[in-house]
Amino acid sequence: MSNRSVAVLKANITRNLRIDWKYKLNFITDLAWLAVDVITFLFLGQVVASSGIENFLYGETLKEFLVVGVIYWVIFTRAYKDGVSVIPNEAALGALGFIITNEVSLSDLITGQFSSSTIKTSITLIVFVLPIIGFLSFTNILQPLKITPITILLTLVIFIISWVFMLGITIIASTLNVIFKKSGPLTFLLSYLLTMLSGYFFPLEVLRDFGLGAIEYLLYFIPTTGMLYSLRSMLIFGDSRPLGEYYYDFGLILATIIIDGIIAIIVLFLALYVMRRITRKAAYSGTLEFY
Amino acid sequence: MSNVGDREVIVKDVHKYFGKKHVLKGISFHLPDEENLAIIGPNGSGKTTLLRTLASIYLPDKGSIQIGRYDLVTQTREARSLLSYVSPNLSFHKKLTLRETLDYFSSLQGVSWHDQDDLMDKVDLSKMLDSPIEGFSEGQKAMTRFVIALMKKPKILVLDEITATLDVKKKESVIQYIYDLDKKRGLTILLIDHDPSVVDRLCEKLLLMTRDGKVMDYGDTHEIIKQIPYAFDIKVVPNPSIDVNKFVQELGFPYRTMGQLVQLYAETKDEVDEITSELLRRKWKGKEGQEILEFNVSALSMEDIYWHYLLLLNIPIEDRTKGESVGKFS
Ligand SMILES: Nc1ncnc2c1ncn2[C@@H]1O[C@H](COP(=O)(O)OP(=O)(O)OP(=O)(O)O)[C@@H](O)[C@H]1O
Ligand SMILES: [Mg+2]
Repeated sequence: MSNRSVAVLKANITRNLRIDWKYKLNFITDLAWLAVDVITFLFLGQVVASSGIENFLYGETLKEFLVVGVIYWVIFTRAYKDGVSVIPNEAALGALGFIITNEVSLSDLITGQFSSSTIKTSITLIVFVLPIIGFLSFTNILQPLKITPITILLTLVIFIISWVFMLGITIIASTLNVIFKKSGPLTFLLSYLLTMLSGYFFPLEVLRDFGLGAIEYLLYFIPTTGMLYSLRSMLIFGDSRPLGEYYYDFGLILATIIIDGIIAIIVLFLALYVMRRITRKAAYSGTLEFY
Repeated sequence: MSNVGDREVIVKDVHKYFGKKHVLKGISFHLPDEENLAIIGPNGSGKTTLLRTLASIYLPDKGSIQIGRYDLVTQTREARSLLSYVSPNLSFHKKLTLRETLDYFSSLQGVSWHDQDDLMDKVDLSKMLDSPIEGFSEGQKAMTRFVIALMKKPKILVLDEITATLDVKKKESVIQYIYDLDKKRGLTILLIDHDPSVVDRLCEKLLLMTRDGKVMDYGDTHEIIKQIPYAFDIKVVPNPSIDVNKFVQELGFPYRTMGQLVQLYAETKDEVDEITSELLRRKWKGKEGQEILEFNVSALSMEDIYWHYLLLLNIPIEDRTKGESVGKFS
């Protein structure tokens, strides 16, 4: 990354946070949204767990399973949504011509937005949500998560890999915005698909019961899926976890982290490359200034 | 201060297509170091497209553009480092203050905006620094764009109708500022403007475009403007019930009609006085005899100069605007 990119990134993060600060109401809406998600899933988990389904993989811990999923995705869906709207927004401001003639890459702008959104959501989570989760654990409504120095470190790594991957996906989805212009629904579908494929609503292990075990294993090569799976196992079961004939432990988590980490980096570089090509092409087709 | 060829612009047979639409059809010209160029032509002739292609927002589908010593297509990055172009369409986040906006746009360019204090004072922006952009007039936004365009101290400055939304006084100070800056730094300026006084003062060269994106003429501004004797035009809306042809014949001044609208041309202030008193007389002839509804006098626009020049070059009428007639041109 060049000095120039760093400066652009900094300028964008500053500007976006300044704008967000001037629209404080949005912040409250986001928070309310998250609260509704968490509460709904707590009830859902409680209902399923108390219905006495025997041998259900997460059994008693379905609530925790769902809550970890919500918190994981709230960061990335927000950043994704803000990230893919960068090009339409800048186009509406008539700024794209200025941006490319100053050799600022559209990827840098998207990264700036993606970063400021991450910062914003993370602050929300740390200040408002984690204390509530802590309180729920304290009162035994939620089973306490396995928080140790190692799981904290791995959580951080998992977070970074997921971030890199989702940034790549956001940039790729944004190239659709350059080519097709009004591609909002398509980009929304893409993020929804990734959320569902990550096992947002149910443990992917159930696929085995339907004879779809092969698909389950393939899904772990999607970094968001592999990372969320690792995060849940780790925070709910700690360092090892017997799963019938399967056995999930830190070794496996580490392997997943390495493989998905490599995939995430490849996706990001691919995204940067595609965006560069598409931007250059747009100078011939005239699509950027004539949005 | 600069080497030969540092700031020249050489354009050879440039074509630009948008899909099937062929907008620029073989544009060529050579603008020497430190000279300034104005592009004029009818609406939709491709002026903005040409300017944006020179600024590398669009790249040419055919032909070549040399900016300073660099080829725009193969050395885009280097060429861009010399250029500054701020589109008149650029708008700003309305909630941010001017200071925050300038911070942002200077960071995008990798420069500081504090060297622009002098200009900001001249156009009364300094006192607005902490006001949100949402309260800015169009003219103030245009000035903000201009400040942004100058931040990176470009060698080649591209300006698309920046004076369009300015009042007379602001326009004067902006033109004077550009003029002084040009003298001091030896800029090459490429611009579109509808005001002949702006073009005349800033630009040595004039590029006239045809309606369909070709070069009609390229030459010295003074040579071209000198050939047009008129300085003023008077737009007249006649009463729809009168015979327009008879009306213009009676007045006896050079004219151009477009449907019911009549435009009269005058060379001097005395002629303007003569025409307006005649028009006033006909306006107040009495209810039933009122021949004209309204009129207004203005300085000749770049469009008018363009249009008169077409006449001088004997460009056939179908290449000009449809449905018009002209008379009494010597
Ligand atoms: N990016 C683009 N994509 C498709 N068509 C375009 C694009 N830019 C310009 N055009 C078309 O090219 C033609 C020339 O437009 P341009 O804006 O260059 O004209 P102009 O001479 O600047 O007109 P005006 O005097 O109204 O500003 C128009 O028909 C316009 O619709
Ligand atoms: Mg134009």
